[in-house]
Amino acid sequence: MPLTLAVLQIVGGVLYLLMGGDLLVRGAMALARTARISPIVVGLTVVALGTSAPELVVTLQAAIGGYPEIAIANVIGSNIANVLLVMSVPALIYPMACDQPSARVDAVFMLVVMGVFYVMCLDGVISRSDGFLLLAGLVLFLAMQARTEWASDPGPGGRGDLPMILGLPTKRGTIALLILAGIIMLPVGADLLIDGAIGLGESFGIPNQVMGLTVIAVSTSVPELATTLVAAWKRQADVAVGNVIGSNILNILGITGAASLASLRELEVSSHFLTLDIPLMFASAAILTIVLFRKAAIGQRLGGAMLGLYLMYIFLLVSARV
Amino acid sequence: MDLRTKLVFALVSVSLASMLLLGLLTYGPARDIWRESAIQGLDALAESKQSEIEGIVESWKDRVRLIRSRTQLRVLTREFDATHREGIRPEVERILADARGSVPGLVIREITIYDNHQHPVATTRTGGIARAPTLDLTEVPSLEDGIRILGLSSLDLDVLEVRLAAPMRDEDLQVGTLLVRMSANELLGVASDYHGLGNTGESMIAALDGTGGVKFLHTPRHGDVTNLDLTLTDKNDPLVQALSGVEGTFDEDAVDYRNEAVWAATRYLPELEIGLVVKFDATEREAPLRKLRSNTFRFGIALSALSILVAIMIAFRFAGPILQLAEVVEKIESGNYLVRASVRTEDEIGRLAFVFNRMTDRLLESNRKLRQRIADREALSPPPSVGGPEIPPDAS
Repeated sequence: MPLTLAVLQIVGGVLYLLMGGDLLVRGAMALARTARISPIVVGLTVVALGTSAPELVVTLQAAIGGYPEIAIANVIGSNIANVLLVMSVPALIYPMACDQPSARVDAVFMLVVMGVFYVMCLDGVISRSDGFLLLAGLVLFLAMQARTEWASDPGPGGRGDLPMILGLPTKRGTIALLILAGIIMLPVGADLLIDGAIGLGESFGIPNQVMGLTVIAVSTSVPELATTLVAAWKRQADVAVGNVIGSNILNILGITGAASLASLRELEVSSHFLTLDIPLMFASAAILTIVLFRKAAIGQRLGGAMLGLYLMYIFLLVSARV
Repeated sequence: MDLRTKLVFALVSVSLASMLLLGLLTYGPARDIWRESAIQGLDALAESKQSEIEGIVESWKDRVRLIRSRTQLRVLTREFDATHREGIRPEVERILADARGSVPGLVIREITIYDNHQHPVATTRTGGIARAPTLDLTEVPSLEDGIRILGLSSLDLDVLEVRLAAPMRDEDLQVGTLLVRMSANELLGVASDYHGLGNTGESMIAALDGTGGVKFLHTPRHGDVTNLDLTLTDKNDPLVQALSGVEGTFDEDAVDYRNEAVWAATRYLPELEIGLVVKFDATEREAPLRKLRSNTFRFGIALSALSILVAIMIAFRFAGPILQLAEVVEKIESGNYLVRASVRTEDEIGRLAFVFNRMTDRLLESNRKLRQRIADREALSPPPSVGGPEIPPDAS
């Protein structure tokens, strides 16, 4: 595959994934408003799906399309990128601090989920029964979130209908169009991204696994990066930290679970993942958790160190496995 | 639906439609040119292999000519024809054995000489003339120097033999007939040469088996076909077309012995009564076309994604002033008459902002005049209470 086409496919794929995710979320939110579904439920499901939609579609497509190594690599790589890249780049702009008790609970839950995921990977495969367990964990997590949300102070109009927002359609036809466009654009984007990444990897002799851990993982983490950058810009680090933790949990529980069920065969886990990638994923999550418990902020120094660690990891990956 | 989404839909649709149209317009001719060029290449290869086989046949005839050219052989045969003296036979047999041994590798399997009454004079066959094959005179060429191929036989797959007959003349008098049986395995070299035929292409030679069936003369590239049940009724098989004497190229509906769609070029070699097919699998040959189509499609889709970026940029450019204007309207609605739209563009939105600012100015002016009139009246008599927006003293 020509290099230009591969790069163009990756860029195009990311754009389609972003736009598709955005359209799907707006369509789903509009539908939820029409159906008078609680904003809490919408926030826990539809909005959470929004930033994770690219990971979900890319992972599912890779698992179904016969690239299980990309599926697992994308989940692990996204989780590493979510902390070491997505949290570090905005920290260079503004210190990322979060003092919410719920974030600390979620961070511990994230570490537990990652530990369970590591144990599941020890036998070299993520089986269907593992997938069921992970999805059950997702249900538990969502239930925990819903409980926390209901217990919190709703504020004025907090539990009413979803508010009228610019970009949220009201006509049924437009809602359907948005959802349909999102459903079409997401797999198109995923297909372009996977194909482009494989093509790029072939051009430089880089294995699919490494492409999954790097190019694809970073590409699917772009929504999280965008959200976090905007949050940092608006000095709303709480939102950014919550977003990253939620996304990491959803990646393992929801996306790996769904991919293992959708895949025709068990998802194979490379031994490389067990020795480097999953431990790094766990370590980066632990760094974030420690920061939360110490009620400290990720400032420029720590942010720079995390970004440096991420770049070193990428360099190590490419040099060791090429 | 907001402006950004509308623009995304519009631009993505337009770019996708343009790419699709462009793809269709360029892919069709490209596919035809590619197909034509591939078929022409195939035909040229078939022609080349046909020439190669004809060259091999000519070399067989040369060997026969060489045997026949032995003067002593002709003289002895003529003498035998005239006298039928038994003592001549061993002499002729010695010459034939020498001729047979002169070609290395046992290529010449057997040489037999017949008199003009089709009786064997001498043979190299084990068992002597008593076991010599019979000869049908009608098969013997009537031309002066004609050498005829009596048949190509397949003793087994990949073991070919050919029989050639040549009249023997001595001073313009036919003295007998020479029958030579030799290996024809050189043909296998031509058939099994897959150069220029990719991973699936092959060249094949086959003959009729006498019962309407088709007999392969060699093991094909894709495995054993000893149990192949191919008959002349299988018109879609290029091999059958070749054996029916049809020479040409086939790319539509042609399938081979494996039921694979193929592109093929055929030749018939009447002298050997064999069909020659040079072919390759359509799937392999069309692979570059499919890749071109897939790459064009992907290129189009990926490029169209860039229109998402363009749409968002345009939307921000268009919607920015409109949103700014809306903010100004909201402020005026809440009573702040001093704010003005700061849109300075020269387009319709700029015009709208300009008119809006002018309208606000006039509204403010008429309000100021109204208040002035009220103030004047109040100076003449005690005023009633009047509502309306507060006008700051320095507003003008």
